[in-house]
Amino acid sequence: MPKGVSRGKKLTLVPTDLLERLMRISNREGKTLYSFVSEIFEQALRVYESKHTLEEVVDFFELMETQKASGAVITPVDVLTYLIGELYPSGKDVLCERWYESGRWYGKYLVDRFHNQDQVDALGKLLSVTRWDLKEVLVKEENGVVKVRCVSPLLPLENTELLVRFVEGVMDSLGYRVRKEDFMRGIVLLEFEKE
Amino acid sequence: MKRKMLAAREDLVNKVLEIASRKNVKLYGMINDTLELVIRADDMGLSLEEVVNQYGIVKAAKDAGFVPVVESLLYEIVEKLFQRSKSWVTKRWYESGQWYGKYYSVKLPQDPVKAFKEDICSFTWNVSEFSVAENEEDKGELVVRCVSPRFPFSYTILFSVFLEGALNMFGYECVKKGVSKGIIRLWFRKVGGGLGAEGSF
Repeated sequence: MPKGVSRGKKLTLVPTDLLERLMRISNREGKTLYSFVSEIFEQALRVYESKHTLEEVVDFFELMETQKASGAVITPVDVLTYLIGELYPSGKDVLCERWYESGRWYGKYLVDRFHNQDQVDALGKLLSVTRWDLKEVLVKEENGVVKVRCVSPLLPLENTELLVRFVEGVMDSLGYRVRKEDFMRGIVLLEFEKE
Repeated sequence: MKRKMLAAREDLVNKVLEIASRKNVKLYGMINDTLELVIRADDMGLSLEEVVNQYGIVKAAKDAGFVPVVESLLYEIVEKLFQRSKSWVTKRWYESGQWYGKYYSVKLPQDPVKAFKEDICSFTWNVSEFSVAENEEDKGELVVRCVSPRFPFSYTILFSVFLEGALNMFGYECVKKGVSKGIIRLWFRKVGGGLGAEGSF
C-alpha cells in the first residue's frame, strides 16, 4: 500500500486539471476532497444501478431546464387530452393557430438558447426527452432537408395535429418551410427545406 | 496530459470498476467522464446529487402520467372550456385528482399523502408556494395551501378540485375552502376510509 494511503482507500489516476477543478468545488462547499469524491461515486453508482448513465441524467436535466425556462408546466395527460378533445371540434382552427404561434415562439427561443449549436438537433433532443407521450422521435437533417418523425400509438388525432402545427411553427422560426406533411392519429411524418 | 493520484473509498472504486468491466471501458475513462459531468453540473450551479434527484422527480412525473405543456396554451384552453362548460370541466379535474389519489394509494400505501404532497410540490415548478400540513390550531385538520400569481382564476378552481379529489381518495373530506385567483386554501378532516393509509404530518 502506498505511503499515506490508509486501509479502505484506493488510489486512482485522474487528469490534473480535473482534479484541480474538483478541489476548487470541494473547497467552496467546505468538504474534503475525499468525502466529495465519495459522494460523486455514490451518486454515479446510484444512477448506474438504475440502468441509466450519468451522461443521460445530466443531459436530461439540462433539457428539462430548457423546457422549464421556455414556459412549460406539467399537467395530467388525461385532463389535457380532455380539454383539447372538447375544444377541437368547434375551435380546431384557433387551436391550430395558437399551437403554431407557440411553436414559432419556441423556435425563436431555441435560436437564442442554442445560438452556437445545431438548433434542429436541439429540437430533436427536446422532443424526445420532454415529450414523454411520444414513443419515438426522429429529427434529422440530410442534404438540407429536415425529416421529422414522431410516433405515439396513444396520441389522439387532435393532439397529433396540434403537435404538427407546433413543430411547423418551430421550424418556421428556424428558417425552414414545409416540404411534405403527412400525419394521422399518433403518427407524424414531416419534411422541411431551408427557405 | 498530466495526471495525479486521487484517493477514494475502496468499496466505491471497486463497484465503479465492476461497472467499467461490464461495459468494457477503462476505469480511468469512466472516472474522467464522471468527474467531467460533475463539473458540468457545477457550471449549472448544481451538485451531482441535485441533478440526480431532479431526474428522479421528473421521471416520477412521467411515470405518473403527467406531460409537459406550454403554460400559456394550457391556461388558454382551460379558460375557454371553463367558460363554456364549467361544471363538466370541474368534474373532469376532480376525477383526475381522484385517479391520482388512487395511484399514490397503490404506489405508496404506507404514506400516500406525503408522497402526493412531495410529488406535487416538485412537479408544480410554476407554483411559488405549496404545502400540505397539519392545522396548528386544530391538529385533526390538514391545510392545503397553494399560491401561484400566474394561475388564472379558472385554473385555480380546477387545480383546487384536483387536489380535493386526491385528498378525498386518501380519506379526507374538505370542510372549508378559500379559492381566489392564484390562491388556494383548503381545510380537510380525516373521515376514515379512503384507499390510502394514514398520512403522517
